[in-house]
This record gives sequence, C-alpha cells and structure tokens, in this order.
Amino acid sequence: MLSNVTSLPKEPPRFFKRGPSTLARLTFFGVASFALMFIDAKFQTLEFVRKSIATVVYPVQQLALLPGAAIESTQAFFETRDALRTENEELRRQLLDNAQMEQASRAAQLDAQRWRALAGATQTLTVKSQTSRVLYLGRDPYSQKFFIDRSVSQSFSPGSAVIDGSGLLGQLTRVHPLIAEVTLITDKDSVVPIRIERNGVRAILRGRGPLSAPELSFVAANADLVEGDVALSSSIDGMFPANIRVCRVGKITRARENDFAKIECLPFAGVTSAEDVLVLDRPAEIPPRPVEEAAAKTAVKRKGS
Amino acid sequence: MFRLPDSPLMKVARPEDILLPPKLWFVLITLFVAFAANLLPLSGMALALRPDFFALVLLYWAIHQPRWIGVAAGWFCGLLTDVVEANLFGQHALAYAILAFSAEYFHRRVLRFPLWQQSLHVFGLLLFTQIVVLVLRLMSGAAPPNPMFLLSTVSSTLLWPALSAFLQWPQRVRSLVD
Repeated sequence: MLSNVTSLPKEPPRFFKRGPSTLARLTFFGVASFALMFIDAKFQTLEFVRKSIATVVYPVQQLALLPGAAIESTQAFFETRDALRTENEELRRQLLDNAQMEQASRAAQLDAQRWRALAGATQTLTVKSQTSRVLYLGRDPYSQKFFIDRSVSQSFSPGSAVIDGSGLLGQLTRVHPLIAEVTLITDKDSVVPIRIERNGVRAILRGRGPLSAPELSFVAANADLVEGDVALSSSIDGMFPANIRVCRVGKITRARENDFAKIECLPFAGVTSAEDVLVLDRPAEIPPRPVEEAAAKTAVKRKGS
Repeated sequence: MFRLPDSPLMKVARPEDILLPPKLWFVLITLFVAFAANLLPLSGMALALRPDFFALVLLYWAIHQPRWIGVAAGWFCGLLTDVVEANLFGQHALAYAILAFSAEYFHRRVLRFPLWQQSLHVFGLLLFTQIVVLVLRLMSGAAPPNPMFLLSTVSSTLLWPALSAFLQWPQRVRSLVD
C-alpha cells in the first residue's frame, strides 16, 4: 500500500478539467502532419500558405543576418590599403585580358547572329538577367538549396537559371515576395540537360545530394567523353538558356557489366561559396511537344494496314 | 563528477524548491529568440554543430510549463521551421509535436534528476526527434544527409544545463538564491 503512495501518477486526477488527453492531441496533430506532408508532396496547393508564413517570418530572418553583417563590415573596415591596391592591380590586369576575350566573343556573336538570321532561326542570342545576392544557405541537411534576395520590382519566375561568375548554380524553385529559393545542381531532385563543348554529345546531369558529386546519367559506355571535358547547358526542352558552363567531367568509370558509364562531374559554379548571382530569364517558349498518343495511334494503324 | 560553476546564474532549483510562476511573455520571447537564433546564417561545420535552439527552448518549456507549451504549440513551432527551411511541409511539425508529447509524458520524472542527468533525457528526446525527421525525409525520397547533422543533438545536450539555469533565473525567489 505504501509503495502506491510514493509513486507519482502520470496524469493529474480526472476531475481537473484539462481538455482532451495528451495522447489524443498527439494523434490529432500527427494525422494533421501526415496530411500536410501528403498534400505538399503530391499537390502544389500549399504554396499559398507557405508564402504567407514566409513573408511574416522574413523580418526575423533579416534580424538573424545582422550579427554576420556586423562582423563582415568590421572586417571590411580593417582591410588594409595594401590588400586593396594589389586587388586593384589584379583586377585591372584581368580587365585587360577580358577585354580582348570580349572583343573576340563579340565578333563571334555577330557571326553567329548572321548565320542564324540566314537560317531563319527565331531564338535570340542574349538573355536578360537580374542580379541578386545570396542571403543564406538552406539549413535543411537533406536538400541543397539557398535563398537569394529579391526586390519587389524584380520579376523572378520559377524555373529560371541562376548563375554566378563561373557557371550554372541551379534553378529558382520558389519565388516568395522578398526572397527566392534556388535549388542547386547538386540537389538530388535537380536535372540539367547538358551538351559537351568539344563534340556536342548530349547528356543529362543529375544531382546526387551532399555526399557525392553530380553524375551524367544514361550515357552509353562507349560515348566519346574524356576526363576534363566541359559541359555546357543545353536549351533542349526550353528550360535553360543554352551555352552556360555547367561542370567539368571528372572520373569516368566504365564497368563491363553495365551498359552505361558512371561519369562524375565537378560543377564550375561555387555551389557552396557563391555570393553574388545572376538570375537569367527563361528562354522564349518553345512550341509544345507533339501529342504522343496521336503519333502512337498512326504508328499502330500503319502496322495494321 | 560533473559540477556546474558555483554562481547564482548556474544554479537550478531542487525539485522541492518553490519557484515563482513564469510570465507568459517571457516564455514567448525566449521561444522567439530561439527561433531567430536558429536562423543565423551558418554553413558547413558551424551549421552541423549548431544546437537546435528552438527545439531546446521548446523542450524546456514543455517540461516546465506543459499547460502552456504542449503538443499544439510544438506542432505550430515545427510548422514555422518547415517554412523557413523550405522543405516538406509537416515533417518538423510532427517531430516537434512528438517532442512536446514526450516532454509532457516525462516532465514529472525528468525534473527530479540533477541537471547532467536531465541532459541524458534531453539527448534521447532530441535524438529521437532527429530520427523522426530522418525517416520522414528518406521515405519521401531525399538523399541521405551528411551524418554530421547528428552533432547538433550532442551540442544541444551540452547546452541544456546552462540553458535551464538561464531560463529559470527570473523564476527564482531572490532570498533563496542568495
């Protein structure tokens, strides 16, 4: 009897009014969570809720950026004159180098435009772009994302390519009123159509998460690819503007038991270090894909007759 | 044995001590600050080592004040986390709701232990929370993350004694502290 007195009850006595039991509440909210996860994964109906909460939370996010910004500005203040001067010289030299390159590329662009006009191509060569800066990296260890600043006047649209000074970083996936979410090409869900600069071989670059380098998938084992090849974006399917540097081909493994080569790639862009980025407008709409059903039907008919 | 420095800031009440009731605004402000602290723009190793302040403060109040901060509050906090982390809606909501539930279930028991033994309970609860998220993510087809992300549970656990002492400070009767 005495042991009963010393042991503590788990719940307070029933005559205190406390609403539904904790377990009932957990069940209710658990079911609600699963419903949310299901709806979020299968349909896009929750984007509105997500956007409104994100806008409310935005000031808090800005607040959290303050300490980092303060440290940065102090560092910038103490950066010595010498460092600035050497950087200045360096930049001036680069500018000269680039000027030459630019002249060459402008001539090439004009050439290409002329050929295109001859061929009656409608695609424009240059793509409009908007600058932005990286606010912070995604904190979710399961996905490779970061967030960029968006001023109200900027018209970002989901799907636009995002690049930094050295290559393709990723794609805008969500556009909130004041920030936008970029999914990097290293994310597991990211797919980029590419073209090898040297010989025009087409392939698809798939991200593989934080632990492994992205890979070119479904490339035949005998395809003409060597380590060091440069992959450019391809405008196939109208997702990306063409000819953005994407990655360099790294280790290639050709196993006898496998029809496809395993090709690891190293992105050019600073997927973990980018600061200033450019958001490129989506390329002009391409005519829709012909309806596959109709094509299949005619094929069947032809076989039958 | 592990001992905290002997200052009034680092002392916590024994289970038989009587504390002043906490103020609701203090609870809400600490939760808000913890949420903001989670948003600090860290990356790489610093991010892996960062304690989950939000979960920790939520857990503290769920243990000490389960009538205010319970399953519903945990669920809502998780939802906020899901939005700012831009991932699957509802995964942290579920994880934090479970965290709050287990805190409410264990709160009478946890408080009878000295701080460092409380930390062990906290370690278990936070680890379980992270595993819930891991399972949900892998089920939804995410790539396995860098195992370093588990370090945040360890750092959160180490923070628990100092955090409890700090959060309890305004509740202690002055004459008892001295």
